[in-house]
Amino acid sequence: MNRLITHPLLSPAFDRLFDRAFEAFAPSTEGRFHEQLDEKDESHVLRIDLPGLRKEDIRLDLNDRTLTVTAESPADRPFALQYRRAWTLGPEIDTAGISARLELGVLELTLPKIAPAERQPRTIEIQTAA
Amino acid sequence: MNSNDTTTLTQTETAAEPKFTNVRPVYTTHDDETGTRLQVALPGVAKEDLKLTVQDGLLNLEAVRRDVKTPLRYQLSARLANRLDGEAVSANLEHGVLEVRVPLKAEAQPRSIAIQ
Repeated sequence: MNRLITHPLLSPAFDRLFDRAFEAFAPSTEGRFHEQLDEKDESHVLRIDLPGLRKEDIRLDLNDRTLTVTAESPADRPFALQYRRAWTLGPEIDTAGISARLELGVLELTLPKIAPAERQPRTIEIQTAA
Repeated sequence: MNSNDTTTLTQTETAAEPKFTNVRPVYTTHDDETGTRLQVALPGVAKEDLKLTVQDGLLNLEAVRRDVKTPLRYQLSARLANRLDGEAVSANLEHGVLEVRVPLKAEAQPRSIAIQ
């Protein structure tokens, strides 16, 4: 009967295969995941970096006017991420119109503003009998 | 000689180049008996804004992120061990994570030896 054995690598130890070449290159921003809130004419846009996470790893809850984002990476995702934040939304936010998308590892929440009452001056036409 | 021309050209390039903040991305590496795997967090980076090269055993990554107020330039360089096959690098960008696989050279792969 044949017996199979696996021959290990002949090198003494399985050393690290990658060496960082330019350690000095990196500025201090290393390790930071980004979060950004932008105000636009019609909405506020909140963008949160969640690299490697899938839709099912993220939970969005809206309770009264509190928006909560909870994200946790399962063990098989490349980066261990734990994120939980809550925002109280102002009265100008249309909570029913909130939408979210996950693209390129960035969660983007669009919080639409309630359209301001029309304040444009209006010319009223005068009707005549004839 | 042509120093005036050179100066003009340099200035033009500087003016055209948007301001970037250079960042070293967050990454992890994992070695196994067939090679190594590098995972780099590149949130917000589109495939067309990512450049990955291997030259003279040096793996170079440069990616531009444009969806933030100040555009970011992610840069990472790694020297490949001699036992790695720089010709057989494969890469995949998914969910904001770049995964680079570099196999060991064929002669460095583990082999099964049959005993008669």
